[in-house]
Amino acid sequence: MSPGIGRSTAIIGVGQTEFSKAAGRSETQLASEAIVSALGDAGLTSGEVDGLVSYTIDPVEETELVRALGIPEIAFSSRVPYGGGGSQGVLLHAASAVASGIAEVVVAYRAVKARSGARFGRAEVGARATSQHSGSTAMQWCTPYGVLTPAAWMSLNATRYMHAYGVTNEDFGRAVVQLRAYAASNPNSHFYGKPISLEDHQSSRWIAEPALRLFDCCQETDGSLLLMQLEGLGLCGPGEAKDFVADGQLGPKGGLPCNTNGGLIGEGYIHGMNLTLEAVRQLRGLSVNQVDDARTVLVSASRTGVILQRP
Amino acid sequence: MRPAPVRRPAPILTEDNHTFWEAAREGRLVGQRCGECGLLCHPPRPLCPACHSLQRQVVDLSGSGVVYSYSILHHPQHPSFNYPVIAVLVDLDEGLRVLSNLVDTRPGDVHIGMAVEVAFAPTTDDMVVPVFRPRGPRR
Repeated sequence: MSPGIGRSTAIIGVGQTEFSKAAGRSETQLASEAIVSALGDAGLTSGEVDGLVSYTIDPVEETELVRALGIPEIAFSSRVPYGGGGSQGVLLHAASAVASGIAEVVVAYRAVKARSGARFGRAEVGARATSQHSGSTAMQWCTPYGVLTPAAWMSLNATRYMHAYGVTNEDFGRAVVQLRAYAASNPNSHFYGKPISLEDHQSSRWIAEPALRLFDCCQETDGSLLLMQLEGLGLCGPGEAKDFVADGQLGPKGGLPCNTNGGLIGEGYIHGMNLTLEAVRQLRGLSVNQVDDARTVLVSASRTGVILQRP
Repeated sequence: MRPAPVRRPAPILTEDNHTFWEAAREGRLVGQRCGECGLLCHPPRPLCPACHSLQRQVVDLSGSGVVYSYSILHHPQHPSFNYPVIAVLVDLDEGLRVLSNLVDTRPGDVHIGMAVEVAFAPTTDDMVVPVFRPRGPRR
C-alpha cells in the first residue's frame, strides 16, 4: 500500500462473531452480525456504507448483504483471489476505493463455516479444470498424486527448507508452542486455556512427515511455515529463524511479538481476517496479549500483506 | 467379494494440459518445448513464457532425475490412495521439476538427492500417470 493511500484511509471499526465449530446460522447472518458490530464500533449506520469487498471464495453475496443490512446503494465492490493468502489484499482494494474517491465507507468481510460447512483441509479429489480464483487451476497437477490439502502442498516447501538449513520439526514446534500460549490467554480462541508443551507438540501424530505434525496445522490448514515467512520478509536471515524463535522473540516480551491472538493456528481459521482484527486491537491497546505501546503492525498472509500504523 | 483395488483419481484433461496426460497413457514422460526459442517447460503452458510463441512442441524426456523435496503424507486420508502417500518433487535431468509420487520404496528410505526414474501408475477411467521409483540396482 502506497504511503498516499495509508495517509488518506483508515480502519475505523472492526467487528466479529464468536468463533465456533458449529455456528448454527447462515454465512449471510454471520457476516451481517459482524458488520453490524463493526458499524457500531465505528459509530456509523448501514445507510453510510457504499462499498463491499470480500474474498472470491466467500459464499455471501453482496446483494444479500445489501438486502439484509438495508444498505441503500453500493458505489464499489470487488473480490480478491487466493483465499487466506489474498486476505490482506481485501484491505488494499477497500483503501484504494476510498483513496480514489469512488467510495467513502467500504466494508471488508469474510464469513466462513469451515467446520459445519465445506472444509478446505479435508482430503478431496474434486479438482476442477478451471479456476475458482483460489489456486485451483494448479490443483489439477496435485490431485492424481494425493497432494490434496494445504498442509500437503506446503510440506514440500518445508521439507526442502529444513534440508537447506538444518531445521527440524522441533524448531517449528517452538514457534507453535508460543502461538498456542497466546491462544490460551485469548477468550475468543478455540484453544483458550489450552496451552501445549514442546513435548505435546512432538508427540502429536504426523500429517506430512518430516515437516508437519498435527499441532503444526491450523484448525484447517498448515500454519507452521512462520519460520520461512520470517526469512522471506527479511526479518531474519536465511536459516536464522529457528534460533530467533528459540530465543522467545515471538513472545510478548520478545523483539517481534507474533500472532498475539494465537494466529490461525490458535485463535481460529478465518482465512487471515482475524489477524487484521488483532492488529487493530494491538494498535488500540485492547489486545488480551497487548504489546507495550504497539504502533506499527505487519499483517502477513502468504501472498499479500499490509502494514498498519496508529494515527 | 473382494473390495475393488485402490485406484488413484484420473487426471483432468484440459486444452492446456492434455499433451502431458495423453503421452503418459502411452507410457511416455514428456515436456513442452518452444518451437521458436527452444525453452523447455512443465507444466505445459498455452504459450512460451519466454518468447510468447504459440509453437508448442511435445518432446520425450529421459525420465531420470533426483528428489528435490518430498513429503510422506499420513493424514487426512482419501479412499483413492494407499497410505502413507510419498509425494515428491523431482528435478529431471533436463532441468524440469515435476510433482509426483515415489513408489516401490519404503518411506524411511526417501531422501533429498535420491536418484529416481519414471514409472507409470494406473488411475480410474483407464488413465495412467507418471510416478517415480528408485533408480539403479533394484533391491
